[in-house]
Amino acid sequence: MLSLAKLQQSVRESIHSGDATKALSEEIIPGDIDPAARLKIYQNNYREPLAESLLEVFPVVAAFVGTVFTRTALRHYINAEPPIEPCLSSYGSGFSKFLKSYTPAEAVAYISDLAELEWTAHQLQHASENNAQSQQKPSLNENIVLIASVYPLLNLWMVGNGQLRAEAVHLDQGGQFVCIVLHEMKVQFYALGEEEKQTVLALENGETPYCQNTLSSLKNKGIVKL
Amino acid sequence: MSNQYIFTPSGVSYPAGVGLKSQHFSQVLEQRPELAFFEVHAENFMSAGGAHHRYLEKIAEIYPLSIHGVGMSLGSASGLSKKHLEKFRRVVDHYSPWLISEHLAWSSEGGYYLNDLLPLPLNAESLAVVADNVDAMQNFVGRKILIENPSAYMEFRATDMPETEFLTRLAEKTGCGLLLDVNNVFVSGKNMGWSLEDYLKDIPSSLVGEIHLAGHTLKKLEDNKEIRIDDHGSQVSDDVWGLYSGLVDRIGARPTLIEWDTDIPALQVLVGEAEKAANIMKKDQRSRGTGYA
Repeated sequence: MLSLAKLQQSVRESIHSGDATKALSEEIIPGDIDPAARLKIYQNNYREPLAESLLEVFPVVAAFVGTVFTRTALRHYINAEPPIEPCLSSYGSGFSKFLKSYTPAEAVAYISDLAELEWTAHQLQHASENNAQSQQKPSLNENIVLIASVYPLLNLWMVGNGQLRAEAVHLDQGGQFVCIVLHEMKVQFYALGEEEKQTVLALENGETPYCQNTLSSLKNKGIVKL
Repeated sequence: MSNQYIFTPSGVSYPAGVGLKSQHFSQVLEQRPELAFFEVHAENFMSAGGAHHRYLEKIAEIYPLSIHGVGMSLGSASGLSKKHLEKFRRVVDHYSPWLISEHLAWSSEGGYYLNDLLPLPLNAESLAVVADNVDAMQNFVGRKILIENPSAYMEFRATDMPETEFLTRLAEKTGCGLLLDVNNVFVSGKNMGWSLEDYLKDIPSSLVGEIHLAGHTLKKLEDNKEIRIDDHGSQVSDDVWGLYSGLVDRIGARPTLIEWDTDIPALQVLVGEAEKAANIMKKDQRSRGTGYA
């Protein structure tokens, strides 16, 4: 008989691989159901709920490429990057990067950026907000994420959740610099114009921008604290 | 370690509650359903912020809470995750729950989390491991915890004692209580060929701090074999209500929770299930007084 530690390692490997080794099967009382079939229950219990819960994090990706495609991609992602902790709200950060090298997604390369946007929104929804105002100089809200996309990312996201008609957006419209921010308990999305973008990048580099109008505009959006 | 519950609802003789789901948050606050308590999964409330915390804080002002962990991996041979213990304790400290529970199971190994409650061989080695982990958890959190019997789809050859003996000895060693999941007793008993009546009779009544009831599915495997899956996706079956009724008849009323985690119905359906449990407890005419032992 295997020690408890070895048995658990063997079960874990079986759940990850979807296989059942002879050594592990011999540790299991078959009864009227084959040990491999019993292990399959746990293999499914592991993978399918994970895929379903991640599907809820990426609804716009699924809107573009379909639920079946997304679910299949998620299953491959789960195999490539299994979870390492029980707080599943923090599992899925690598899906955007995974999609970049996922061959079936080559023809829809923009979905990687969409996945990054959706993941960011999901994370910010679980973040805590520090409402203290900046005392000395303008600073960025600590709960922002910036995505520089070569695609009209925010417009695509709005098509995916029904806020824009598909005919209004073309992939060759050019890129968007998107800021996702948690402000006053809401996650908000902005496609920044060139001046706002340069101001935000300057603040990110520790510089002090001097255009008050742009700073005010960013303050109203919750992106900057003044 | 404190053995006192932080908040014990007064005047509640038939303590039936339901699992709190995000789709019901607003409705609970608006309608204030007649329930004794709500239960949430600890891991769903380990983030730093979010609307779900704001809702639960409001709900916890009105109802007692039960915090039910699913990821502590009390059966792990390699011990507990300090990081996860700290997160769990933060949830307990923030919400001061009436009841705290986890599972006789493991879910982490080799740095990976397996998103399920996996079975243990029930023997002396496992008992020592689980007892150490339960001690560590109770000492760190500073509270007594209830350990839930799992649903079983396989047994190991290394098992040399019944689950009821394992749980009883675990409680004796650590001072923990038991969360008796009657649906799991039914599912495991049918899958493994155990006597359901013997199982429920063998659990000392003094150890039962909470009862879970849930639905399950009969699944057909290849070659037409069948197995019951504890999927928490339907009403409690008549068989499980029958077992619950017999259990209450033997041990009296206990905090009883309706679990429903998939294909979640309207709130009034869950409340209806809880009312059935409360009615069974009301029918219990034993001379225990107005509440539970």
